[in-house]
Order: sequence, then structure tokens, then C-alpha cells
Amino acid sequence: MDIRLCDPSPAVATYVTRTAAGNVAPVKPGLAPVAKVAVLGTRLPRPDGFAPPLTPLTTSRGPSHAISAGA
Amino acid sequence: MLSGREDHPVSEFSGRAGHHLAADCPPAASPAGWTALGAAVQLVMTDPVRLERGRAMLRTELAAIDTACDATRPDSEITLLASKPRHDVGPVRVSALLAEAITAALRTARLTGGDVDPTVSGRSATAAGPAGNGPAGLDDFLAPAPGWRQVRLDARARLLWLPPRSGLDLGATARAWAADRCARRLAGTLGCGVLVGLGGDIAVAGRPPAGGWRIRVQDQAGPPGSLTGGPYTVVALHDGGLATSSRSARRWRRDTATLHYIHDPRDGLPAAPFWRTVTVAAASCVSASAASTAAMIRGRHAEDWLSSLGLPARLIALDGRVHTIAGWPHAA
Repeated sequence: MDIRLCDPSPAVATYVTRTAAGNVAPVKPGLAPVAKVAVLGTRLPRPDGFAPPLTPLTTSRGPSHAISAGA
Repeated sequence: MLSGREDHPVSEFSGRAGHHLAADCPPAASPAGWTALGAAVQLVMTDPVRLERGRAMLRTELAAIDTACDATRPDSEITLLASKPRHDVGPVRVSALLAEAITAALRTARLTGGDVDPTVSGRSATAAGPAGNGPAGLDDFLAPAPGWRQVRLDARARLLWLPPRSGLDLGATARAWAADRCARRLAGTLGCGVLVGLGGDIAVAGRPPAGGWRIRVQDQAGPPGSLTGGPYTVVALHDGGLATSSRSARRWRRDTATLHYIHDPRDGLPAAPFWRTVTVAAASCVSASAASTAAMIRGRHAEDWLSSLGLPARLIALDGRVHTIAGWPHAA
């Protein structure tokens, strides 16, 4: 599975691959292994920018806890 | 560890005209008239045992924020700041709370490309007044904003430089920032799930109830007190915040013009009508509020902009048609 660093800086965002054993290894020889990774395809945090909630919104049929209607 | 009670959060809230509390809200003691920053306050917690302590904490927090940031109060720090004589280049020292609120406002201005600008006349914050029937007329708005880039804040030293003859309007950001701040502090201190709502700006923190915080998003096209006036939906939010901007609330007429409180900083006028209501979910309430307000100003370009940011949003057109984008769930 392809994964990449959470650090959004292009200089640091090295693409790495996860081995079959689940270990993290750099794609290119000589690059340092990484410890903090995110699955490719998930949204990476934007430095001080807009970001969606971590958990996607869902619909609900239950009673509401609060109202958002603008004010 | 939370008990099964978290499935049945308890709440304390107050209602006022124009902000309807659903009949299907959980049972709650409802102290009348609990408002802050001119908005009704909602507090919902997953642990009823800690509700009273949470309520006391929230009252203390909001009272301090009101004193610093409420432009409708003649004795607030931000009101006094606007009336204080200043040299053109001289800084003013502000409180830590106001510095934090201004930081949020300047960040919002930067992220929205200046669409939500705190130098839009302080009149916009106070024009509608707490009751939404304010005195401002069209002439009061015929001035472009000085521009947020002319504001400088040294947050560490708490020194603020403002453009000459300019005040600050935190009306577009203060409630959402306050909701974020209070939800985080209560959840961190009390160790349970917390929802704080200020006039439709909703922030959640801590472990949510099973299934998430269920929030009814509604358009206020109906008469006061009507829960089903206009289309609505109920969504479950697990983290971050959710905010709604609307032309339906807090608007008033002067001469032949209908005015409301969302202003385009480029000309100072109320934003041209395109959307009736925009609701956005984001990683924080202040970001959700910034995006929903900017979307109202951006009009027809709002959908593309919100989609590019990946922010789930629900937009109601003037004709009542509902648009949902970027992962906003479709009604079942």
C-alpha cells in the first residue's frame, strides 16, 4: 500500500511503501525511514488552513442535540 | 471511561426568537435568556453528573469573552478600543483573550482571501443589534473596508496596530472562536464529550456520544417558532465544528433595501443575494463559520471553492433548492 509522510512540505514529503510485513521502507535507497505516516488517499492536514472534520458527516434519524440555523 | 449515559446527552440551553430549539432535543433544564456575544447558548454534555460544573465553567468563560469581544456592550474591551484615541502608528495593548480572538479573525481573513474581513465597519456587528432590528441604514455601509492587511498584531506582546480611524468587527468570527475554545476547555477539564453552540455556530470536543452529535440543520424561512420552515436535515458530527450563515436571520429593511449582516468588504454593502443559507462542517467551528460566511459572499462561485477545500457543505439557493457538496451526506 502506498503511504506518505504527514509533513506536507514538498521537501520532506517522501513517498514510501509499506512492505508485505507491514514495515515502512523508503522507495528510494538512502532515504531515511519514516515513523509518522498516513495512508495515501486520506486528506493530509493543511498547515493552518481549512480542513474537513476528521470523521465524515453522516445523516441521522435520531433526535437532535443542537440546532444550526444561522443567526 | 464514559458510561452508557453518553448515548443520552444532557443539555442546557436557552431559546430566543429566530433560533428555534427543536422539540426533539433531549430533556433539559432551560435557564431562560442565557446568551453570550448576542447569541443563544447551548451546552450539551455526555455526562450528566458533570453538567452543572460544565455549565458553571461555560458561564465563566463566556462572561470573560463577552467582556473582551462583545461589540454590542458599551463597556467591552473591543468597544472601548474603537473609542480610544490613537496615534496613527501607535500600538494598543489588548488582553490575552482579545488578542486570541483577533488572531482568529485575521486568520479567517487570510484563509478567505479577505472575504471575511474584521475591518469591515464595526457597524456590521452592531447594526442588527441583539434583537435583529438594528438602526443601520444603507448609507451607513457605503464604505469599503480599510483591509485586514493593515491590522498588525503582536500576539506574544499583545500589541495591536490598527489603521487610522478604523475599528475591528469580530462579529463574523468571535462566536465560532468562542465555541471552539469553550468546547475544548470543558472537554479537556471534565473528560467527557461536550457540544457548545452559540447562535448556530457549533463546536464539539471530547468523545462524542454513540452515533455522533446529532445536529439539526435548518433554513429559517418559516415563521418564528416553526421547526419545519424551510428544508432541514439532521446530520451526525463527531469532531470539529459546524456553522450556518443565512440571509434569513437578522435582516431588516431600510427604505427600499433589505439589509443583513453579511457584508462584502470590497464595497461595505450587504453581500449580493445568491444563497439563502450555507452550512459548512470543518475541523473547527471557526473554520466552518469562515467558510460559510465567505460562501455567502462568493455567491455562484461558492460551490467550486468549498469543493476545492474538501469542506462538506449544504447550500440553499434563493428558490429553496438544496445543494450538497464535498461529502455532505444525502438525506436517507
